[in-house]
Amino acid sequence: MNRYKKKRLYLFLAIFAIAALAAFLLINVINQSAAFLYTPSDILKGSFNNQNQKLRVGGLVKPNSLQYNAQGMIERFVITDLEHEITANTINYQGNWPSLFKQGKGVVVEGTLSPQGEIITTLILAKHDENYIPASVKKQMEEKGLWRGQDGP
Amino acid sequence: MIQNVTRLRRWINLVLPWAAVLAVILLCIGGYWGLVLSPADIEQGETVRIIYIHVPAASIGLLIYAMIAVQGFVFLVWRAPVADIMLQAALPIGAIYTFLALATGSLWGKPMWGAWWVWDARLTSTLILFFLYLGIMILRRSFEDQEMAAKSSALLAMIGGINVPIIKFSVDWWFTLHQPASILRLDGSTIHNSFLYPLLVMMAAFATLFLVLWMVRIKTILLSRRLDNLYRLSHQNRI
Repeated sequence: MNRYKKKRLYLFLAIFAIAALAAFLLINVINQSAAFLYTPSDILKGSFNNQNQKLRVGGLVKPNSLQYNAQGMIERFVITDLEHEITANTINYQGNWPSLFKQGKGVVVEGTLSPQGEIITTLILAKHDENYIPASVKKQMEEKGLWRGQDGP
Repeated sequence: MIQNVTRLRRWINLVLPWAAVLAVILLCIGGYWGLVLSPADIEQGETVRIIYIHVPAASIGLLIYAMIAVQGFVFLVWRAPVADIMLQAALPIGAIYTFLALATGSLWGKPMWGAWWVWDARLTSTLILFFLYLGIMILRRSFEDQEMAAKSSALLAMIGGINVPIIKFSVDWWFTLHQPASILRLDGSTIHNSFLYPLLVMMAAFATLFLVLWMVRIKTILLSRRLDNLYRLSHQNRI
């Protein structure tokens, strides 16, 4: 390798290192100032007094926490992060219920915090996990009595 | 330079027809296996089948960029014109793969998540990848001086390489609505084999298809450069 090539090698390695450092610092700043969502624990510990502030709360849909009205529509459900929980109020929710909204599964709701400490929900998003299981496997495992719920075979 | 290019062209002419046949075969096998033979998912139902386009497009689109970033670096340090040609040829293919990943993900997201788009780390960093592809292509074309165009686009391509690990690990570093990795995991794959095998075939198909399109693009760029040179020569002779 001649002298100029060597010089260029170090130059561009240095440029790349500086750019990577800049990206790292930028990401750190973004991490501290903005969260995609809060957990129920964050909400209960934090000071979210502004009732007009839109929040995103994520966690699992607590099993058997769904409350229905006379028409069979869901009015409330509980979001848990396995330490703390918070109730999502969906009485006035007009939007879609995503297909993956299921008890015990990941959910993200967007809304405002009511004085009663409920999230008045304006948007419901479901999160899919990394498990892909064929529908037929569940049936086979149930027949053999091996099925242990949707968290894994 | 001329030696390298001649060797490259000879090699492409040898490999291209075989690769094209292989790509068609793999696409047929993977397509039929994924869309017809493979089962429905326990939660997503038939919607899971979008994975056979989405994951290959996203992962190969990202791999193409990783290769482009390395080639940008090679071009800047060693000034090998072949690296510039290969980089330039791969850009639009990577852009289309990434666009396919974004579009299919959006189509899946609406019924499954309840949203066409969310600004989480995985989706946002992939959108940045798409804009990077477009940005390098535009930069490549915005210079009259070809040397300048090649150097500046190589530099942007190299620096954009920082985005590659960010995309890959975004699902581990931040909370994302996008699911974490299912195939490349330390604790083993979490995707059932009846989905995994057709998916791997489709990934091989997308990779082979990329190689085919890439070789065709390299040939086209070599020919158009030769055309430019001939044109310039004939112009000079007339004067």
